[in-house]
Amino acid sequence: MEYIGFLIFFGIMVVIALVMVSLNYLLGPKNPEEWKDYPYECGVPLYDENAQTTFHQGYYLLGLLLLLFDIEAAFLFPWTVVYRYLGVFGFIEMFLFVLILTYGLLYAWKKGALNWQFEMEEE
Amino acid sequence: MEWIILGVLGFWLVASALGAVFVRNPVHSILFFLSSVIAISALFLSLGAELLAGLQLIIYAVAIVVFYVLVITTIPWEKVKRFEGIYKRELALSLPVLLVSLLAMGYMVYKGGLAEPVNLVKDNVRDLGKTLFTSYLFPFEVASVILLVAMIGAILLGRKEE
Amino acid sequence: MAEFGIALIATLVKVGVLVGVVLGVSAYLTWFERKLAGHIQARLGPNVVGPFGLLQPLADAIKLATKESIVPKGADVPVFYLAIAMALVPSLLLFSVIPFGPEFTLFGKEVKPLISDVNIGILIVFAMGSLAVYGTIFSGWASNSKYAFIGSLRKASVIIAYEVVLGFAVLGVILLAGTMSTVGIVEAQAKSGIWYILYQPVAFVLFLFCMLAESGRVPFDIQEAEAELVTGYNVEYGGMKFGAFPLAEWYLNVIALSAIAVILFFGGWSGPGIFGALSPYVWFLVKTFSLVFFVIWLHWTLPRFQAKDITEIAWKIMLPLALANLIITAVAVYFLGG
Repeated sequence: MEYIGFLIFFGIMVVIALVMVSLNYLLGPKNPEEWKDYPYECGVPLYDENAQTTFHQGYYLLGLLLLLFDIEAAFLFPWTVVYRYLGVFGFIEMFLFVLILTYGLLYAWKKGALNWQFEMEEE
Repeated sequence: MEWIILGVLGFWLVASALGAVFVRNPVHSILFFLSSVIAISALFLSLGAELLAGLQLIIYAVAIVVFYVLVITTIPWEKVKRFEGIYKRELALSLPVLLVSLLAMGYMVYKGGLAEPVNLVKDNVRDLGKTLFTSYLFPFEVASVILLVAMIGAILLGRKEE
Repeated sequence: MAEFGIALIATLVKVGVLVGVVLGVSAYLTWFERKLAGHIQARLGPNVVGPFGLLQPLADAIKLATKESIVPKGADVPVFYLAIAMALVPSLLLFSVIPFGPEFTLFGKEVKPLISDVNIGILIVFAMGSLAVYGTIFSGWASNSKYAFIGSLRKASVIIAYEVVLGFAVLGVILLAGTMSTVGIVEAQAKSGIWYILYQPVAFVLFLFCMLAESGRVPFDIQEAEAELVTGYNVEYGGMKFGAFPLAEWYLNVIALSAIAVILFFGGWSGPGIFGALSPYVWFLVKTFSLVFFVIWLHWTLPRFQAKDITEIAWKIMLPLALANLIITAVAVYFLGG
């Protein structure tokens, strides 16, 4: 029942977003010119017609790191809620879990996956 | 009331799943996939499984889809634009699999009937957490090792070739 | 069915009030921010339109709404428009789990001053904060501009890093409260009489930094740097389409995350009842807007971090700190019984 609120809220927000998107179309002037829809390029002709090209692969690595730490966090969220009911088991369990993943973090750190622009360290 | 909600969510889910399969542009495909993931999480919510819905959002809608989106930066777009037609061989291979899984689902529905909720709990998070961290303790620890292996593998993959 | 109808109407009223108030407040926050920035930099700020420049947000809105609608050449049009919704919706949805006060009785009905009191409140905050990354990535990708694309990926990498830290930082608070419900966390603090900032100062500082990074505020905004670089991901948007991004990011996100920081660390609505029946609301709003003020103050005072430092600080300093904080909290709760 509580989630009906979510649904209604979501619907209303989509309507607001639609209004914000269409407002310029409804109220603004319409006089298209040749160079108006030209992508921003510091005033020189476009070097490349299509900007949706391949890019640095380091972002792929970043996505994987996010995946791993998000899953770790997702496991720890229910654990924190029931921590008081688990006793010594919950305590040891969490230590193992966090230690293993801390090792993963240290490994990623050592290999340079956490560096800006993902420059891997020379070996 | 429940049937209306279920119908709307089911339609949303199936429509976005079909969209994800049939759309040509990879980015649009990812967007349809995101929509289907959110539909699944809404289905969980409508069944009262709120922790599952939250985890579905965090793991699938955020982590996995963000990962997919970041992978688009490595897509060779020239190939994507050149591609015409459908994968005929893959389609032919997938048909028997589809048929078998439909039959299996039909058998399950015929034999077991539709599932009834057993005993609804007030605090879903607490009960699920207790079960997860007592009865299923070992799989939980194994999960952490799998995550570690995945991280090491990912970093090895991402290294520059020497 | 009548029960359901009443609940539906109550929810509709709550959503209507919330959306109206939040959008109004964030519009006026632009005026407040410009005024404050003016005084920090020894200027006057907006003072021409209306008394004290109070009509300035209205003028801005009219100006943004009457610009021509331009879509850049070669842009992916549906995604280009969808990105706006994807930026706006998660930051507004954050408000649905914020309790503005305790339960009260109206016409013999129990009314909760929040839209949905759920057991996974903090999980939803975490998820919505992360979902905001799509607005950034897709707006940059769909614009077909290299500046926008690079900017969006850089900003995505920052949001991702700080989102992970945020997730681990709030775990300590959940551990103390034993629940993920926002109402439950406030009630736990009100019952014990101690705000969690005393137990979790490290987590609060981490949360504050994540809040600054996610809402694109100084000192963590080199990816945008709206005055020096070209803001990156939203460079191709114009008019109200452009207006939606700063609205979502700088104002809605900051207000929502400040309110959540107040709930997590400053006892939510709890405070001495010196304003009578309204005192919980007064306290909550005072605390929230002090934090918003603090964020704006930082924005116009500090210089920026280097681009290199921002993500490395998140992964190499904040994440280990958050993990250590979690472990220390767990040990303390285990031995002292919380």
